[in-house]
Amino acid sequence: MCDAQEPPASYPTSASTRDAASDEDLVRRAQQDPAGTAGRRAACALLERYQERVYLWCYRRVRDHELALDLAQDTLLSAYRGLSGFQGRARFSSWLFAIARNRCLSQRRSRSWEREEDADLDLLPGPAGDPGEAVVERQEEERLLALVKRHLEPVEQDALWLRCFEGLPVGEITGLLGIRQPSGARGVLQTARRKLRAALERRADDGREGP
Amino acid sequence: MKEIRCFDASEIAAVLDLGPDDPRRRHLAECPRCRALALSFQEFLAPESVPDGARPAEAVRRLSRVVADETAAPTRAGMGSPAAGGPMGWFGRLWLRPPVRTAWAMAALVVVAGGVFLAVHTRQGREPVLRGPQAAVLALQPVRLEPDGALRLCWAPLAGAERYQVRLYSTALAEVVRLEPVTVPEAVLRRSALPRGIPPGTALLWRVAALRGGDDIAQSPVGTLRAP
Repeated sequence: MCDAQEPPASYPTSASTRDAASDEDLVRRAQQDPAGTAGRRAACALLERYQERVYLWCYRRVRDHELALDLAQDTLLSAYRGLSGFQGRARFSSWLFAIARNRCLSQRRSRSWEREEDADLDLLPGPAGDPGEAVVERQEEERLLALVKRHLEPVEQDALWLRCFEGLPVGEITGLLGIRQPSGARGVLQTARRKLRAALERRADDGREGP
Repeated sequence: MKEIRCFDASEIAAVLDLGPDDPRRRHLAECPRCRALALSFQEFLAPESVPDGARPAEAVRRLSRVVADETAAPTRAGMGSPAAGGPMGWFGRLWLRPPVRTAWAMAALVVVAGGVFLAVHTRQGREPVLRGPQAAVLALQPVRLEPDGALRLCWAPLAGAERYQVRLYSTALAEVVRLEPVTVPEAVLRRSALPRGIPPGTALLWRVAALRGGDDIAQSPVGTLRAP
């Protein structure tokens, strides 16, 4: 598709040739000649390399084909527009991941009023509703992190964080963490919730616990 | 020993490549937040399966078209166009075509600037002044209206900045909201990001802070916009 608009004279068209170039090579070519044909085709090849992954990652979070497509498109176009400012301190893959993640988290925040059937972790901070809440939310997240480290098993820690802060659905967490028990990640999350609630109650009782 | 801070999403690939004895790698092993981020990134890089309901073939076809279109025509805006057709009718597309959109943006800026001028000059007493701790070196670019009504806020990238954060203020200079920091020099302001007490069309001020290691290293001048 990179070649669809302008048939190239020297642009590599085979997938194998394209795949031979590293992300860093393509970024460099795109940055060296951003307005030229070679630079634009390098950017195109780079984005095409990731477009399916971006879509699937977004889909796992929103479970809606059209919405995932919008988020993926937004991510890819933002990356293209920001490519000239990409300084290579991060890998291109994780830079693109960060953009996709921000898009999905923003989208998730915008739909926060919708209660999901498995969103039973009411101990956790909600989305920011006013300016002061954002600060409170960050402090709460730090407190929660300390509690989680202290009171939960590693698999419970991972499940909780993936659910609440990475926005992954319960079914996806079950697969990603390889949880084999019949209730999957739901059971793990319920256990985590119970432990956290108990820890919070103890903290409220003695007022000593917490970072 | 120096405490390792949690990683930004854009750093995670580099951290995963470190040796097991590196302190940052040890932090990754011990921190639930960073571990979840790493798992999420690994899932991004190598999805194990196609989830039910996903249509990757169709997605790739449509995304390829958008990407090819965007990268083939550097002078054409192509900003925010729906992946394939989308719900917007011909009337909407006409009014959001780049020249008309620019005219709308200019008109909105004039209205907002007038509103801010009036608001500031009709109030009694000493006015608050919005100043950053550092000299303003981040240049803001004109606010762009997206087809879905959101606003795209862009600025010139700053050397040394790891992330940027958009901060919005009322015309009385009270902070309204801070958007999630981003690594690219742009952010989309959607209605949902604003508190419920800010109706659409409200005049707001915005500025961008450049961040490095959690600290502000520079702030932009103040721009104006209307709440989406």
